[in-house]
Amino acid sequence: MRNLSACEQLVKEAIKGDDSAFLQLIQLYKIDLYKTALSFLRSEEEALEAIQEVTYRAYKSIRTVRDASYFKTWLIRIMINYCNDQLKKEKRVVFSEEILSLQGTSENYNEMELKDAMLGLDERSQEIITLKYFQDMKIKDIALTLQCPEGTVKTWLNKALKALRNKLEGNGGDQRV
Amino acid sequence: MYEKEEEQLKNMYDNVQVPLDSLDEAIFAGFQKAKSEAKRKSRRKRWVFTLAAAAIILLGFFTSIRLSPAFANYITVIPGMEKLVDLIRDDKGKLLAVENDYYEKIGVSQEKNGIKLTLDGAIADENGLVLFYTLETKAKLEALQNKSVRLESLDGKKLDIGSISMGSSLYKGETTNSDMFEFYFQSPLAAKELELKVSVEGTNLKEEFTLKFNLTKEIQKKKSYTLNKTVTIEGQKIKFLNADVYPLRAAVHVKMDPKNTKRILSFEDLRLVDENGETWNKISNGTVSSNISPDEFILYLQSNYFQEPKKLYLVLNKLQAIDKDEVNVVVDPKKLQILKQPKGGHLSDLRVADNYLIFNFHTEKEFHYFLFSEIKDGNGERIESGSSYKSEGNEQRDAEIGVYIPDLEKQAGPISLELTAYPSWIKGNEKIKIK
Repeated sequence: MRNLSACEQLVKEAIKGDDSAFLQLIQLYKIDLYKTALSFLRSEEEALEAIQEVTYRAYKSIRTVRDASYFKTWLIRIMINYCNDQLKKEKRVVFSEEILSLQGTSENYNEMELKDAMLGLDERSQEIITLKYFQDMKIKDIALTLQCPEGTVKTWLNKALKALRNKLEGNGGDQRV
Repeated sequence: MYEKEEEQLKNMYDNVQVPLDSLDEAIFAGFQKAKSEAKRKSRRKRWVFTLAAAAIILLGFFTSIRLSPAFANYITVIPGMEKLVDLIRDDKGKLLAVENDYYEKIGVSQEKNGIKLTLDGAIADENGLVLFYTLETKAKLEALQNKSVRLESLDGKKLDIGSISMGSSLYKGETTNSDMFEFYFQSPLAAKELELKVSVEGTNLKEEFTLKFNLTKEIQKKKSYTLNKTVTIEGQKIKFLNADVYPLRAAVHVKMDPKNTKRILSFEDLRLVDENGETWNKISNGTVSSNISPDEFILYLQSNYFQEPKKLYLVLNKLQAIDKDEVNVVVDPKKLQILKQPKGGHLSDLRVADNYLIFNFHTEKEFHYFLFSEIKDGNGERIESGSSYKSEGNEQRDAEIGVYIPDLEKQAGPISLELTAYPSWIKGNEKIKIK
């Protein structure tokens, strides 16, 4: 378990301009950031570029952090904004290339199918699935990150999962083994 | 209901392999980029010329407020607006003006010898005009500085300019810089057809741009409130006369009792607060007050013009004040000595370069104010300084202050600089009802 108060202390020092505290924080959350980036951008190269840019943006705006206990959501939010901007900029369609090194296949849908289905979702659904399942965030924290009521988050999440299932069944229904 | 999907989604990302080394490289690269920019930015000077009343300038490079989600949505649908919002991020009033469609797109540009000045847009009210501009160069230049900014009326209606803020310079290695020219007027803006003349200077290069433009949006009338309330803080009496709220800023007129023992320099945390506790602070990067006399100010706050609060208060807790016999800093420009300064000894290392008197200024906490207004020579004659700067280092507790003195080497006697800000405070708890 991470020691939360130690973490908050780091955030406070980082806000005051302590560079090593800032770098420690990024180290602490780099895996979460990377996975978030990857779930949106799908290429290792782009995810790394995202890490660079988000480190830069976080450093520049560290002073806007209001509540140290929500530093992680603040950071993830910067990443999501960046990813959405990137996707909008490129307006690209990504097909399943050999992008990720993945092990094993799952029972029902294989992972490539799942990924493609994810990318076919609208921005909000992708965002909410990323926060809930990849970041393992609680509904309450997602609501805070997205600045909307918890009820709305639940509705969105349900819609996202429904859309995901529709995509999976529509696309790969008869390919399932 | 969706257990199967949920399970798979969770598994999917547990399996991702993370390239740890590349990750650390990326973090370091991002960090380096931010560091080098912070250094550069801290040297950026904002030049302000005051033509009329003495003004207090507050330099806030790093302040920022959060955008409302609604507004964030709004800006993303208009191309080019992110740039603009970056500039006004620390001013709720200007953000509200943009949000309420009070920003006017102009899009006039002129190109000369590979340098292009574009007037992107404007926000105008009776009291001020903010022009958003972008300066671009084809080649990377050493540096490009705005040397003069003039505004003229083309339709015969008089322009009564009080102050001009000239925007920041294009720095070495940059090929584009966006900023604002801000004009504030001493009588209401009536001219609609205008001409902007900007001259820029770099190494071995000087260009003047002339841009004609029209203001087409109807100018919103100010909202005026009469206050006439006196408050007493640590024995100092202050009377709030009235408040005028314009789209670009709110102006609060205050008068101090001449019998006060201290001179009030700045209403540091004066703010507007509505019935929901929403707060509008002082202008955080620009002119925060016009001083009619040492005892009479017009204070400028971020505007809530486009909100319609049911109740509105002025709230203050902290004022900058110094004893009346300490209001002047006196220096000897020949011996490079500071002869007199208030308690605290915040100023040091007086030096002279290119007709600038330069001080180091150290404080315990960040202090973003410019310090001086009127400057007098050894005979008590007023010196027209023209321009001054303050540049803040990374740490922000140490700054460099430069004051331009024409023909500095000819100044024989001690030079006296009147303080308009100083890190010394009186405290209280006052709430004044506006409506």
